[in-house]
Parts: sequence; structure tokens; C-alpha cells
Amino acid sequence: MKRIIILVCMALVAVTTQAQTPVTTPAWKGKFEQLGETLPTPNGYRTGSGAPGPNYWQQRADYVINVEVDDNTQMLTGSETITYYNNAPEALGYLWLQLDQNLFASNSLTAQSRTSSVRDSIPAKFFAMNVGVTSTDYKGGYTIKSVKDAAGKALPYTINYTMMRIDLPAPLKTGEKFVFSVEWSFKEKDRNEMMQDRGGYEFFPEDGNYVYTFAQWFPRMCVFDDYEGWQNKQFLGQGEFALTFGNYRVRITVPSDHIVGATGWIQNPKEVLSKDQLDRFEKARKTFDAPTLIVTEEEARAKEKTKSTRKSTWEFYAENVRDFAFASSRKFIWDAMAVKAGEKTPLAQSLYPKEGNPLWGKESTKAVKNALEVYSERTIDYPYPTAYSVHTANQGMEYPMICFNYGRPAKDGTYSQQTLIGMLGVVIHEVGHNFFPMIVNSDERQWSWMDEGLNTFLEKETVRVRYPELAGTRGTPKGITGFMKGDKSQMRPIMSMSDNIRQSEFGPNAYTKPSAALTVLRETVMGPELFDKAFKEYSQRWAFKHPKPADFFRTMEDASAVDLDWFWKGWFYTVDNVDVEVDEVKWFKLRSQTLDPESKNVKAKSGDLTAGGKKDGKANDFSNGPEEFSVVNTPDQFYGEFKNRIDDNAIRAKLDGKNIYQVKFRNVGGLVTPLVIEWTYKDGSKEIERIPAEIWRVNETEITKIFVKEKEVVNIVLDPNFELADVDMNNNVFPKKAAESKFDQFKKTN
Amino acid sequence: MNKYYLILLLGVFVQTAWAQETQKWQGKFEQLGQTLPTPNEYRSGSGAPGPKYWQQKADYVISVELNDQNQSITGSETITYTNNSPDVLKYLWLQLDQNILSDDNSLKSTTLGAVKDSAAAKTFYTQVSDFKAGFQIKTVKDVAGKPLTHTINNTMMRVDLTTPLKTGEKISFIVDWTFNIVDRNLFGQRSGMEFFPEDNNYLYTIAQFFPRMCVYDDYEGWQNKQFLGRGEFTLPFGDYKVRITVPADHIVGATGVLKNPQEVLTKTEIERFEKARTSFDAPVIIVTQAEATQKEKTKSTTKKTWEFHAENVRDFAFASSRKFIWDAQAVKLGSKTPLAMSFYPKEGNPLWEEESTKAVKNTLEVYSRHTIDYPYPVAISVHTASIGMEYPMICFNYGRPEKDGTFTPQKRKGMIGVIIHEVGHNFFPMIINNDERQTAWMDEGVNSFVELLTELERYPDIDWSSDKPAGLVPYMKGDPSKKRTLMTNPEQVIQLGPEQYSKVAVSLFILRETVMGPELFDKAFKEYAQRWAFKHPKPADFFRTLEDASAVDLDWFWKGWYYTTDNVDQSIDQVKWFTMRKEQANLEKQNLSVKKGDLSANSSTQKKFDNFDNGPEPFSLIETDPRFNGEFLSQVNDKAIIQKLENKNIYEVTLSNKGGLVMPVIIEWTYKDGSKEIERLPAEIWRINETRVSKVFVKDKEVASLVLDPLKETTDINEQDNVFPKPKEASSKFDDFKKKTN
Repeated sequence: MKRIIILVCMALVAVTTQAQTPVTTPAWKGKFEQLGETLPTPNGYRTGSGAPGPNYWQQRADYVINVEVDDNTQMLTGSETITYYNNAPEALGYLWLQLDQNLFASNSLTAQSRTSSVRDSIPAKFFAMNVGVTSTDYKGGYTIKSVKDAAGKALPYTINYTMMRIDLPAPLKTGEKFVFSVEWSFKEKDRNEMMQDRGGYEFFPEDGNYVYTFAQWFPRMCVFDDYEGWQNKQFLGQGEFALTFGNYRVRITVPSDHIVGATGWIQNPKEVLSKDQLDRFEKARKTFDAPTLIVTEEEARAKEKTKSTRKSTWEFYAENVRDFAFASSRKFIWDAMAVKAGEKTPLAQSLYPKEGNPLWGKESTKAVKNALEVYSERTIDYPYPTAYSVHTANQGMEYPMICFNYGRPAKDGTYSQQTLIGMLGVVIHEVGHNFFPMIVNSDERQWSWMDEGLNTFLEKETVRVRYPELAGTRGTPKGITGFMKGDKSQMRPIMSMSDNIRQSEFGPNAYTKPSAALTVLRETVMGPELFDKAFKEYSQRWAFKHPKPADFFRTMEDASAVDLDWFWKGWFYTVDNVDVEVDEVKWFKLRSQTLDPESKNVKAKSGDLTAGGKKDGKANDFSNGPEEFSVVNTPDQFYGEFKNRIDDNAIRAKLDGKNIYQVKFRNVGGLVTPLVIEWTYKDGSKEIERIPAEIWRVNETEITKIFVKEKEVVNIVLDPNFELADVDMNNNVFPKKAAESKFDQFKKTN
Repeated sequence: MNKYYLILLLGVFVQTAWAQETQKWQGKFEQLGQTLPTPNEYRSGSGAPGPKYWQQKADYVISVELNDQNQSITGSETITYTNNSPDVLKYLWLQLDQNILSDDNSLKSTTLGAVKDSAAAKTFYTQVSDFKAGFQIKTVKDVAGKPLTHTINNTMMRVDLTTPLKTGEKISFIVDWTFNIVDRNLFGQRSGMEFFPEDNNYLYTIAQFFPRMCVYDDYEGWQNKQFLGRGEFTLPFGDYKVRITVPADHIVGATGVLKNPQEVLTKTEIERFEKARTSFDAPVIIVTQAEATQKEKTKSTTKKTWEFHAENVRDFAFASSRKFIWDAQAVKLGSKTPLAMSFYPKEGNPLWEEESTKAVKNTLEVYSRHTIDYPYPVAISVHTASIGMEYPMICFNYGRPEKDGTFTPQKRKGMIGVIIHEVGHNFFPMIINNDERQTAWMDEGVNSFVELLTELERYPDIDWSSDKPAGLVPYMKGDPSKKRTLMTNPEQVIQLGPEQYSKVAVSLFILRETVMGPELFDKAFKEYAQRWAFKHPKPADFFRTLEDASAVDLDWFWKGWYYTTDNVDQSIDQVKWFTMRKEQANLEKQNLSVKKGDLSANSSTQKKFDNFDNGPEPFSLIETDPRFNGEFLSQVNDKAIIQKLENKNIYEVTLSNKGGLVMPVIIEWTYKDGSKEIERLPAEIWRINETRVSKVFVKDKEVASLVLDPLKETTDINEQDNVFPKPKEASSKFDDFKKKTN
């Protein structure tokens, strides 16, 4: 380095501007060091830029499935032929399939490892769930009837709880495919009794009918990838799914008066729909401004009573999806409308029983449309032909092209604002899951935040843009402070495996904290332009692929030139929070006689630039007025060998009469953060000043900075717009007294 | 997923089921993540060799002469080294293991010691000995005879290539050397000689006797970490042709197949040898004790040269003596019929003729079943005092009877154990060729585990209990500051036995018996062996394969057992016994309400639960408030639930994890009627709270007592806190004991 001379000279003066670190200051933690080995080493599969590498590969699984639902016994019976394509550069000796229904078998790992305790006067339902007792003699889990190769020869298999290993007769080489078939059945369950069920049925005692939502209903291929090998970690209930892309052809046999919605596009409408329904369906495909009813409430009500005993078979086909789900009921009202998403015109559809109306008729399909439009803008144009929203009590759950959403009015059809907000939020959220993880196909078993967090962020954005009057604090920095100020010793970082996160923390950890973090990134750290570009880049790179956390972290940096390692480190790998204190503010003015450069006797001792006498008193407000200080001529040695000189007088002239504020900030919460400072001047005007997080890069706990202001300052507030997720606003203001009253006011008005 | 609705409601109730964590969450169930190397094209995420996996090859042609007069070795070798790596190599590294005893090596200078009064003179031997050890490298030259530049750094020799060796190319070069054979006992070495003063003969076990290629691989580059004595060997595979010149009356056993029996064996010996090759039920003696004893006296002065060939081995060793008795038998393994052989002096009998070859056979059979069929043509067990040491197809094993031929059961057990262990090393690391210099547990530990399986299956008459989990308890209980994790380099380990052998063996035993079950474990373990046979695995390849092939998440297990020195110490903190209040069947009593946040409505629950003497606490279940069903129209049948729980004995058991290792919970319930039931809960019970959990059990019968880990299968270091109620006499017994000892 060539600049040593100047640096050494500067050091004499500059050192003193660094806060004198008190003895209690925590050790340097390298919060701005790069993530380095915390992330996997980039390689031929995944590059250092966060993009899929030149040798990136992924597997493919195509399914042909025949399934029948018995409305009398709630039994599902199915058979599937899976064509598994090995695109991996290595041969496979065995395949793993997921048997998710085995979660409900009585000896499941989840049941065995569930903790519980006895409390007096606990509702029977909760006690039963915690100790594994059911009100019925329901026996959950798959019955696997056969596993055969294409020639019909039985294949050896081993079932380990929710996973099934099939040993191949010969290793499946790179580029080869293997065709095999599985037959199975299971009894569907009342979702109300099975906390961790995402499928199941609801029974409507008043009319004696069922609404079925079938999910994880067939043995599904596990993901085999470059990072995990087989992702065959057991399904424990919380950590969701890791699934392979492929094409599905599914034939669903149900009572002939049922309406079926499913992943994919209907292949035989003429066989299962009436002429009227067909006409309405075709009309809906061309109607972009409002939904068209295909089955009316009146028609659905009529069917509730007649209960057909005949059967129909609905056929659906879906390309390049990672899963398949369907809903079926004679209670379904059905509406649909076309949506413009770039070049594409997908069909937004809703299915709901009369119990969902009038809310659902009004809002569901519109919310689907809003979600598709906003998400498409932020990621990629929605590539699938349809997106369904199905009304199902008490849950929101997502599958490709179809999702199950809550939001039911009271019996008289009225509903609260809260129900409306909840219903819109969940529809947007679950439809949004089409993008994360259905298209940008992350490993949910390991990382919930990669789909839930990113999706909650875009859900919040969609509500903000399309329903501004309903926007709340969910998923915002302000909304997360309550959680983040909690007891750190009981918290898990976002980068924790899904099943290890306590249930009470799962919402913040997987959903709202990552969403708040991305909001801080977009609004405060990067700015919308850089953020949106980078976020879109990530979506484009990883659409129809399997990203890992490092791919997201790296892409966001790579596409924006914003160093974010400090951000990922703090927000995703620790349980620290943002809590910056405005610790000390000193107000200075230049001594007037120093304008006379000839008076050489004005000297400041080095290391003590606070020449004023009252330096020991810690000011709590501005009432003592400014302290005076002097700026002396730059001594010759600071120039080293250099000949030209700075005009000290000109500098002094510029500072003359200015209000100079020295502000000390303390990092109490641990997270390094940009600073957003609101200055209120004596004349009532305000100014917001933004300082990047890099201000903490040398001292992570305490920094002091000088601000030169024309006007006199009466008040300083840090994070005035609640954009930093600062968990304690009490210490964000100066003068401190004013702060409290302001905060009290804030409390009163909110 | 967006299941807020239920979660929020449920939160009120389940929250209380989580004890506050007593210590900071350590992420014991988090995946190993970046603790393991990132998978790449050389090593895949499944734990298998990747599509671009490669390894080097080193072929040797060696001529060596053993001088029985001055106990020295003179040798010359031509090494043909094939560069299969994608890199260009400018230099090669060879291992000069004999240099560990030269005066200037780093072992000597870093050996610690303290002076004690009345120390045995032998302990000073190496400090004062005049013995000149170490390789004398006479020449290093290319095949044209041109000398190659070489640099010796302690036990490593770098040979600079005149032109860089490109991918796919081979180079041949020649090394000539000599060294003095060490007296093994005095220097504590793996090879050398034993002198028998009574008949004035030597028994030679010769190993690390030639400059050997280092491994160059995708992970380490050159593995040229110095040989300090403990961290053993890292060697590439190759083919060997070795000619060994010894006194004409010596019998030689070596890695490989004898190519010139006509030149070195008598006609009778050849006939017996041929007979042995088809004898599957018992060994055939090829050189009898009478014949060997005779040779001890005559001492031939002429020489003979034995030639051995071995394919795809990572090393070569041999044993030579005129004292050798020799027996052999064939072993059936799938399509292969290797020959199990033993070489031993009369001092080993009668123990050796009875047990050695049989033990070799048992080892090959059981190991082949658990890994791959033994692929080599022979497996030799050589009798050598005080040591067990392994080489491909040949190993040196202790177990010598008293002078009168008697031996204790302990001696027999030790001898059988060491033979199984050393023959077992053919699989780990000779075939599944890990880097011993860095990771000793991958061969010593994994091998000790299969050794234990072999012993339990084939020698049920011997008591092996000290090798099972309970036997590890004293170590696990020990001072944490004296412990190192299993992932520690062997040179830095303090307690080598447990930390590279028995802790690994026990951990895998627990994995098989308690965590995974034999079916899943055996499949996965065999998968590992098949994937990595004749390759170079790393720890991550082992860890990943065992998961990948079984769908059992084991990261918590590897983390705890291999990366920490924690121990297992579960305790039963509290057992509460409840029964449902009778009036609860009457659900119409709607007035039973509780304050939110105070669900323990019964104030008497404050009392202590040291035993079952006070009888069950009554508690009530109330009807589920409709708001808990949310929008849902079908309701849970509370009555049916309550009916199912009526008259049941409900036990809330609180357990804590004091030792740090998360492990399955095994509870033995003893009922009042004397019957017992063992209930097994997976380790995942600790996944949310790693230190304290409670669980409710619903039992038909009344429970008299509970015991944790009743079969002593988890190495729980403290049995006292594993029982409930606390045995009253236990404390008095302890008091008695204290009284007696004081």
C-alpha cells in the first residue's frame, strides 16, 4: 500500500473520532465479514453467482394415476404408473418414495416423539391430539397393495415410516428411465380431528354431504439432487415437501354429481359437465373483467339433496408440476375468469359450498387474479393454464394450480372485516405459493422460509398494491418487532430446519420474519429498483428448478452489487434484533475568534478536540446551547512531502455559524442496520437522512458521527417510519424527555 | 402452508407442554450442513462416488533380500504411477516410513516424557540405542537410469519429475534402498523381528519396507502429512509383483499369491497346499510343527526367492521364518473360495493350530455378508508376539500360550479378538480404503464394530459384554477435558482406544440395534461398503450414505457422537399419575371453566411426585369450546374421547437430558400385576427442547415402576436417575457402602 504516510498522519486525528470502546463492549464478531464457508462451496452444479451451474441437473417423474373416491366409506383407492427419469450423472441402485399418509398411522414417528402434559380442565379434543387418542377408531396410513415393474413383476421395497425404498433390479444409469407401478388405498379423515392434516374432508351435518380436499394422496417420488442425494428426511408434519417436477395424467372417479377441481387442465369436459356448464366454462375463458358462474348456488343446493349414486370420471393433465391435488364435492359452486399475465391467459377459478357465500362469490376469484398479476410482475409470468381457490374451513394449503383456503361468513351470511382480511390474505398467499415453491421449487422439508417467507413477502406486497385499505402490519418490519424483542435464548434463527422450530415460533420464523427482512431490504437497504430486479433474477434463474438458500443469497447480491452478507448473517443466521439507541448528542459551534488564523495561540491538544469546558456533562437535551470549539490550521506534517496546501480559512468559513452535531449511536440489539434519522428543526421543518449499514463495519456496537446542519435542531428520531424493525422506540429519540412523551402520544393514538 | 388459525388456538394449550429450555438451544437436530464438505462432481450428495470421481494408481515391481545375518533389508523397486487426476503433476510424494526411527525425525523430537524414580531401564532404550534406523535411499532414477531430483523431509520424499505428468499419463521410476530391521519389541514398531534366544532364530514381520506412493486425491491433493507413529497409512491401489529372497529353509507368507511354489516348496508341501485349497471344513497342515522344529536346528545357509503377485491392493507386507508352522483351508463366499492360512512358530501352539485359521474363516464369512464378498485370493494370520497389525491379505497377531502350552480363557479371547480385528482390516481400510493418517475411526472404529458382530455371532461361548454399550460407560463418564471427539486426528487423541475404536464400535452398535434397527442399518452399511470398495471414502461419504440408503435422519447422531464429547445421561425427573374425574362423563356440566393461562385448576398438583404412594391425581376434560372448531362444521366427539380415557391410568413423565447427547428414550413399565412392557421413543422427541421433555402415556393397568434404558443399550452413564420411584434401599445401600469404605 502506497498511502501509508498520509494514513499515518491522518490516524492521529481520525482515531479519536472512533468511539472509545467501554470495557463492556462485546468482542468483534465480524458482522460484515463475508459468509464464506457458512455457504456451500460453489461448484459445477451451482455457481458462485447464485445461478444454476453449467452441470446443473434435476430428476423428472411422470405419473399416470387412476383414483376413485368412495363417498360412503371415505376410502381412496388408487393405482399409479411412475416413469422416473434419471438425469443425475450417477447411477441409482434404489428409489425413494414419500408415503405422507403414514404420518397418521398410530405408530408414526410424529406420534412417538410428540411431547405432552396433563392439565386440569383441558378441552377433550386438545388432550386427545396430544396423547394420540382419537374419538373414532380411525386407522390412518397407506395400505400398499403392490409395487411392480413395467412387466408386472413385483419389486422389493422397504417402508420406513413415511418413506418407501424400492430396490431396482439393475442400477438406473444416467439418461435412463424406469417405469413402475404402485397400488394403494387409505381412509380419508376428518380434518378437524387431525391437526397436521392438509387434506381430509369436512362433513356438513345439516345436509349430510362432504367436501373433500385430497392432498399427499399418492406415493410421490422424493427429490434426488446434487446437494442432498435423496431428500428422504421423514415427514414429521411441520416440514413440508420436497418434490420432483414431471407431467401428470390423472383420472378421478367420484359421484357423478360432484364437481372436481384439480392440478391441471380438464381433458374430458364433455363427459363430466352439462351442456350449460360447458357453455359457461367457455364463456369464462374469454371473460377478463368479472367471474362467470359455471355452477350456481341454486344448482349446488339442489344437488345437496338428490345425492347421485352414479359415478363419473374426470381426467386432468398437468405439465411440469411438482405435485397433484384435487377437491371434490356436490356442494361446490364454481366460478371462473380469464387473467392476462404477459402473453398468457390463465383461468382463475373458485370452488366453494354455499356456506362460503356471499364472501366467496364476491372475492375469491378476484383475489386469485390479483395474486397472479402482482406475482407475475415480480417473478415470472404465471406459466400454468389455471389457478383454483377452493373454500375449506380452517386452513390454507397450497398445491400446484390449486389451493384450499379458509374464510367462512357467519350462518346469516354476514362477515367481519377481519374475516374478509383473513380470507383475502390466505387466498393470495396460497395462490402465491404457485410461484414459491411450486415453480421456484425449494426444499420445504429443510427450509420453510424459502417458500413461506418469500411468499408472505409477495402476499404482503399484493395486499399493499391491490387492497391498500386493508393492508396491515403482517410481514412488515413494524409487525415483527413484537416477536423479535422476545427472549433470544428461546429463539431459533430463520436458518433452522423446519421440524426443529417450535410451533409457537413457526409463524414468525418461517413467514413474517423473513417477509419483514425482505421488506427492510427492499425499502431501506437496496431500494425497490435494485431489489425488484434482483428478486426477479432469482425467480427467473430458479423457475422450474431446485434452489438452495445460498442460491437466493448469492443471486440477490450478484444482481444488485449490494453486499448483503451482513444482512443474511444477522437476519437469517442469528436471533439478534434491531435496537439502536441514540446514546448521546452534542451540539457544537465554531468559536468565532478561530476565524482569525493569525492567532496562533489557539491550540487543541491532540486527542481532545472537545475544547469546550462542559465536556463531561452528558446532555439530555439541547437546552445548554452549543459548545464552542476551534478548528486550527492544518500542521505541515499532515501533508508529508506534498507541496500544495488546503485553504484552511475557506473550510473555517464554510463551518462558521453552522450547527454541528456529534451523535453517538449504540447497537443494543445486535443486528447491524442502516440508520434512518429524522431531524426536526427549530422552524418546524423536518429532514430525513439515510445512512447505510456499513457505518457499523469497523465498530459493530458503538459509533459516533458528525452532522453539519444549517438550522438548529430541536429533535432527532431514529426510524421515524418504523422501517428498520427497531424493537425499542423509547431509546430512538433525542431529547430523551421529548422522546417519551412522543412515544406516549404514539401509544395513545394507536 | 398457512395454518395460523389452528396454531394460534392450540398455542394456548401446547405452550404449557414445553418446559422452558434450561440451556441455550444448540441445534442438535439441525443438519450437518457446512460441517461436511459441499458435495461436488467427485463426491455426490448421496454419499456415493460422484460422476467425476477418480483415483490414482501405483504399480510396483520389487526385488528385496532379507539378510538373516545382519537383519537388514536391501531392495529395489520400479514404480509405475498412473495419473488419473484431472490435474498435471510436477512432483510425486513417497512415504519413507522407516525414517520414523531415524535420529532426526519429528516423532523423536516431539515425544513427551518425564523422569520417574525407579523407571524401568527399557523405557530409556530408544534414547540411548546405537541402532541405526531409517531408509538409506541409494538411488532414485528414471527407467533410462537418469537420476531424479528428490528431497527427503522426514518420512516423506518428493521426487521432481523432469516433465509434468499429464492426466492419463504414466511414469515409471526406480528406487534402490536398504535399512536395518528393527527389534520390534524394543522400539514398539508395527514390523521388525523377534529373536528367539532358545533356538537362536528370528521371526521376521516386514512391513512399510519399501518407499510407497502417497495418495493424491480430490480432497487433499497430496496426503503427505508426516508419519508420527499413530496416524497410520494412506495408500493408492495398484498391482504388485514382489520377489523376496530369504534363507532357503524359511517359509514366507505375504500379500498376494505365490507364483513359484515349485521353486520354494517341497513336493510334500505342494501336495498339502493343493489339498488345503479344497478343504472347506478344517485346516490342512502344510508345514508341521515337527518339520519346523527340525529346521530351527539345521539353519540353511543357501537362499531362495519367493515370488508373489497381488492385484488391486494398497500395500504389501510379508513374514518370513524357518520357525513357521503353516496351515490353510478354503472358505466359501458366494462365488469365491479364498484360502485362509496361518503361520506360527511352535511357541504359538497348541492355541494357534486350534483357533487361528478358524478365526480367519469366521471373519471372512461374517464380514463378507455385511460388506462385499472377500475379493482377494488369500487371508493370512501370522503369529507375532504382543501386536496386532494389518496389511492386505496378511496380518500379524498376538496370543502366545505359556511355555507348557497352557493358556487362559482370557488369552484365547484376546487372540481370537485380534485375529478377527486384523483380518477384518482387509475390508477397512485395505478395500474400503480410507485415509488412516487423518481419520483412524473410519477403519479402526468401523472395523471394531464388525469385529463385535463377528464375535457375538461366531463365539457365543465367550463373554463380549465389555465391548457392548455398557462397556463404554466408564469412558463416557470420564473427565471431559481428557476427551477428544471422534473426528480428531489420531495424533492429537489422548485416549486412542475409546476414541478411535470402541466409541465408534459402540455408536454403530447402538445405531444398528437401537436407532435404525438391523434391517435398515445392514442395508445402508452394505451400501456404503459396496459404493466405496476399492475407492477412497471420506467421513461425509459414510455419514451421507447411511442416511441416503435408509431414510433415517442421522445428522443428530453424527453430530453428537462424532463431533462432540457429550455423553448419554437421561433421567426421570418426575412422574405424575392421573385419572379422570368420574363426574367428567357428565358433559352437560358446562360450568367447568378455567382461566386462560392457568390450566392447572387443581391446587393440590403442587405436591411432590416422588412415588405412586399418594394415588392418582384427579383431573377433568372439558367439552371443546365451539370456537376451537373454527369454521369447521363437523365437530369432534368429545364424549367418545372421554369414554376412551375413562378408568385409564394416565402418566405424565418428565425426562431430562443431562449428558448432552440426544438419544432414543427406552422405558420399561412394570405394572402392578408384575407384567412388563418396553416402550421405545425415537430421539426426535428431543428435537424442539433438547434438555427437558414431558410426555403423557395412557395405560390400562396401574404402573408400579419405570426404568429407563432397561437393557443398557444407550451407554447412559448414570443408572441412579433412570428409575422411578427412586429405590429406597438404593440410598441405604450406598450409605452402607460409604460406611464400609470409610
